[in-house]
Amino acid sequence: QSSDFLFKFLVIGNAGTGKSCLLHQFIEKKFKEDSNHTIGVEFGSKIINVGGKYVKLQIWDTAGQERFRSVTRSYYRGAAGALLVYDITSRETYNALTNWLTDARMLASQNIVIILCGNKKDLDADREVTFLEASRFAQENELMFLETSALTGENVEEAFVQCARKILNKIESGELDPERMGSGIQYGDAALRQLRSPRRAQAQSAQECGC
Amino acid sequence: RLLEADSKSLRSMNGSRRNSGSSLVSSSSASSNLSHLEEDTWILWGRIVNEWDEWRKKKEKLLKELIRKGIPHHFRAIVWQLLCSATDMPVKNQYSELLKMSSPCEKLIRRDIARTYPEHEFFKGQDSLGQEVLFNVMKAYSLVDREVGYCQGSAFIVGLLLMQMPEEEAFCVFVRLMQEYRLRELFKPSMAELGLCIYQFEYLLQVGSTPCPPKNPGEGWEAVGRSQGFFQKVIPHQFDTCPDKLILRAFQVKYNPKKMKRLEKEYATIKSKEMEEQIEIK
Repeated sequence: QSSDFLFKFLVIGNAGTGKSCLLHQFIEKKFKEDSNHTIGVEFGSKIINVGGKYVKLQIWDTAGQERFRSVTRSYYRGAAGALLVYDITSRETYNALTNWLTDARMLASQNIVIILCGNKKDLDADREVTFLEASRFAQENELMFLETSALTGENVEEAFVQCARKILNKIESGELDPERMGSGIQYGDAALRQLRSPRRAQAQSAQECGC
Repeated sequence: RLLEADSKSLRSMNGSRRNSGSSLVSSSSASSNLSHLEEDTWILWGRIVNEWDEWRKKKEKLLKELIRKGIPHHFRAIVWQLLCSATDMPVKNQYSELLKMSSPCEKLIRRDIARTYPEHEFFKGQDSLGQEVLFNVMKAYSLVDREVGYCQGSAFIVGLLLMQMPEEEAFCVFVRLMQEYRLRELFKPSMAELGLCIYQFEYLLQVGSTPCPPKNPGEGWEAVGRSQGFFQKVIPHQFDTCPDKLILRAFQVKYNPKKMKRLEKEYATIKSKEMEEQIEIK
C-alpha cells in the first residue's frame, strides 16, 4: 500500500507503563500477553488513513529505564509526533512526565506534536491519577490527552490517529514544512509518484534502498 | 570468547529443548539409545572436565574447536563455570545471606521479571520456579554491585544461565561475566561504553557496504543504526532478494583494533562536546 506521507513517531515514558503493548495493540489489534521488556529501541510501522490521506507511521518504541535515556535520546531527532505514556495506576510514572517532556521538546523537532496517554485505563480500581488532573497537565503543556487501554484497545488507534491528524493540519496550514530538514516528515511513495520534479525523483530513489 | 562460541551453538540447542518439552525427559530417553558417536563425545567431555587445568593449558586450540562444535547439554553448566573460573568463588558463600537482605532495586527488578522470556516454559507463570530464581539472582547481584544495581537487559543474560544451571552457580557466572569480562561497563548508569560499542558497530556496518549515505540528519544511519529492530528488519530487508549477500556481508566485516581505538577517541570527543553544549543550554 502506498502512502502520501511518512511520519516518524516516538513512544516514550517510564518503564512498565505499557509502551510496547500500546504499539502492539495499534499494529496487530490485539493485546500482547507475553512480551519481553524492551532493551534500547524497537520499532514498528503502519499505514493509516487520516481524512483521505494515507500516512505511514514509523514508530520508535523506547526502553523506559532511566539510564537508557542517554542511549534512546539519540533517536528523538527528527520525530514529528510522540506518545508520552504514563500509567494511571502509578503516580510515580505520572510525576516523571515533566522530564520526558523536556527531553522530547529539546531533542526532537521543535514542532513535535505530543499526545499524553494515561494507559491501563481498564485498571480503574487501582487508579492513582485522576483524569482531571492529567488533563490539566496536558492543557498547561499544550499536549493532546487521552486515557488508553492497551488491554482492551480503547483509544489506542485514536491516540495515534489524533496525533497524525494534528500534524497533517499543521502541514496544510503551513505551520509545518515537510521539506525542512529534521521535520520528521517525508513524502510517501504515492505523493512522490505524482510529483516528478527531478529533485524529488532523487529523493524517491534514495528511499527505495530502504535506509 | 570460548563462552561466546558455545552460546552460538546453544541457540540451536535451546530450540530443540523447547520443542521436546522437559529436558530431563528427552535426555533420559535418549541415554538408553545413545549412538556410539554420542557416547564417545560424552566420554571425551567427561575427561575434559576432570582434567580441566591440563586441557586449558596444553590443548587450548583443540578445546576451542570442541566447544565450537557444541558442548553436550549435560556438561554445559560445569564447562561454562570452568571457562570463566566461576567454580570456587568466595561470593558463592554469601549468596544465601544476600537473599535475606533487601535491595533498593527490588521494585525495578520485580517489574521486569514476568517480562523476561515470558514465552519460555521455565519462566512461564507468576509463581514459577524460573521467575523466583531469576528474581533472586538479580537481587543478589544488585547488592554486590551497587553502582550497576539493576539494569534492564541484564536479566536476559541471567535467564539464559538459569536455563543451564542452578541459581547459585548462575549467580557466580554472572558476577564473573560482569566483573572480569567487563560486561558491567555496558550496564553502568552512564551507559558510556554501550554508546561507544554502538558507535563502533555503526562504523563496521558502514565500511565497505553500498547503501546510500544519510539524506537528512537523524534519518540516516546514525539514528536508525542504533535499533535492535533495525538489525532484525531493515538490514535483512535490503538483502531480501539475496540472503547470501547478507551472510557474505557479515563475514566481510573486518575488525581493526587500531581503528577501534581511534573511534574510541573520536567518540570521547563527540561526547564531551555534547556535554559542553548541554551545559551551555542550561
